[in-house]
Amino acid sequence: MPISTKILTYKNDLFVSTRERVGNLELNAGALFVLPVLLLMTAIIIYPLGRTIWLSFHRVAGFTNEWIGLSNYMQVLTADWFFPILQQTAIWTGVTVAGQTLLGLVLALLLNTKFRGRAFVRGLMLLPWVTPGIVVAMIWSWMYHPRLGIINRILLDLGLIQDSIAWLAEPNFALYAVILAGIWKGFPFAMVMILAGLQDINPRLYLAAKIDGAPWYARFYHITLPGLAPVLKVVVLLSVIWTFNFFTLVLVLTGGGPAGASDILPHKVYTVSFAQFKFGLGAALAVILFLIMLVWMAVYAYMLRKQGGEL
Amino acid sequence: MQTNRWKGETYGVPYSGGAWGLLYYNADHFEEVGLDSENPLDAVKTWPDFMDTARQLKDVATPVGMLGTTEALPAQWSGFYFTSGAESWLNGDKTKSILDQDKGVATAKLYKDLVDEGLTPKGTANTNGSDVAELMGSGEISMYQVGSWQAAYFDQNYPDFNYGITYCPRMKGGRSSAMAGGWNQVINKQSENKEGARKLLAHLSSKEAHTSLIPAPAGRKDATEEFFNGFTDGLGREVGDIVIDQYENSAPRPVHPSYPGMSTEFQKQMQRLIIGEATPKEAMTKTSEEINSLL
Repeated sequence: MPISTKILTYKNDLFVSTRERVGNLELNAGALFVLPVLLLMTAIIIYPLGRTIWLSFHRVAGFTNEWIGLSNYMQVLTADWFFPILQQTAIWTGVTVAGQTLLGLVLALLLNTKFRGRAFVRGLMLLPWVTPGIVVAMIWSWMYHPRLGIINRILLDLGLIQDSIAWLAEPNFALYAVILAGIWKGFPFAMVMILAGLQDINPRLYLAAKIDGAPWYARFYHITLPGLAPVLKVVVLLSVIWTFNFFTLVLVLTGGGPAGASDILPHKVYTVSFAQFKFGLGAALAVILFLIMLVWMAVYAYMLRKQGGEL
Repeated sequence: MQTNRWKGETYGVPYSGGAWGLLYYNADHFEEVGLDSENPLDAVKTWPDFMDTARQLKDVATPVGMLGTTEALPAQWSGFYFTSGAESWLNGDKTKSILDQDKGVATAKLYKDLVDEGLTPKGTANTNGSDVAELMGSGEISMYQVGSWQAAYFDQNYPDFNYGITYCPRMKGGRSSAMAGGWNQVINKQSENKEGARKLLAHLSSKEAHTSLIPAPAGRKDATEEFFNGFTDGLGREVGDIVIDQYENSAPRPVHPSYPGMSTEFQKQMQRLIIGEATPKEAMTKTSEEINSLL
């Protein structure tokens, strides 16, 4: 039978044609086991995704939907707010993930050393991660308060500023104030992953390097970083995806203000859809957001493959 | 009922109402600068009086709590705006925004002047109602324009707070007014039990329901008058007549399907004004341009 007429599937090292697979309960058992999960995923991921894509081609008014083709997409891409918000989203994601990873790395290295109470401190470090985003936002909102906030109090007492700063109301500071809160919220994930990765590095490598006289930074650069590379790849990939989509902090801390200075794409999707009730336009923006993430994942995987690595 | 009507058709009935246009003031601060806290109206009757009083209070506390974010911003702003004599953000036939005319620009200028003279809390562009309420209750702010519901909050959370209530400062030559808000009741066209919904709506529209269920000014006039009969401020003065007067002279924000988009642009432009990126005229012109595109 010509190969072009067969659909080939793998089972261990054997090729099993689809025709043979259908009706063979032993081969199909795995498929049956994952079927419930597939159905669940269809209900909570695939259907909403499909519905959102469908909405993006319509003007929604109450219960009526009018087909308008690509109009919503054109409106988004030509809006005067789109590219500034896209830029702000890139800054929010890039700086937050870099900060989370760096802070997570430093703390993981510290927590990898032996000291009394280490287990307690490790648990304490998870607090930002387990605290709900809305609670984190409210805490930081009060910390940033121009009159009552602790951040201004400390900076004033140290003489670093002469007058309190309205961190969340100044267009030059608002986005970075949100980023700082985002770094605090997300660093434990990086820390825990990196800590786990550090356990996999053979300690004899460090011993051999010390014997050879390698200083700490050389040991870090030539042993620790390469050893952590697989973990860091996963941390960066997941952190980018989660941070890109995480808008709770913006919603509560600044509402995207002042005057849009801290607005990011997922927050814009929320305000367009649920504050302005333009569901079609919001859906188009959500699809664009989704495509950006797909492109990111594809580029990331390509770059890794080019370096000879894999996820 | 204005907020329930669109193109000559009535779509709902009021459930609870409210008027954003009472001035709460810290009586202790007023006394400290030599103002009569029992008869405050002369000190804050017009916008120039209000500004002068705010300047006097500057040494005691942050004089005025102005809002800079969320829907509370257009609500508070409209409370001042409607004292100018304007009755809407839009012209008579709702085809054009009039915010870029004298009254709208003057109201925006009031905000600008308060911010520029340091009479509002730092970070006004990010200040919301709960921030100001906390600061006012704890004595950090001297005056706050908001609605009647704030009194219950102060009574419960700051029982020692000596606050008074008076009319919202009005534009010179203007009138007593406020921004009308609240909640309405409607029956969804898709409802599978319209008869049951009608019965529920009829019950919820009764005077009995409005006086017993709603912890706020009711949609019915008779229930509202009963609710505010004996309504007192933190000084124990009966101010129910002020509340009802404001409520009856109030006007709503634009009743239009595109209002959310109008509000979003309005908030953005007012924030630009507050942070110094736009003049009052520029902010109101930009807002009007967006509103006109939505109409």
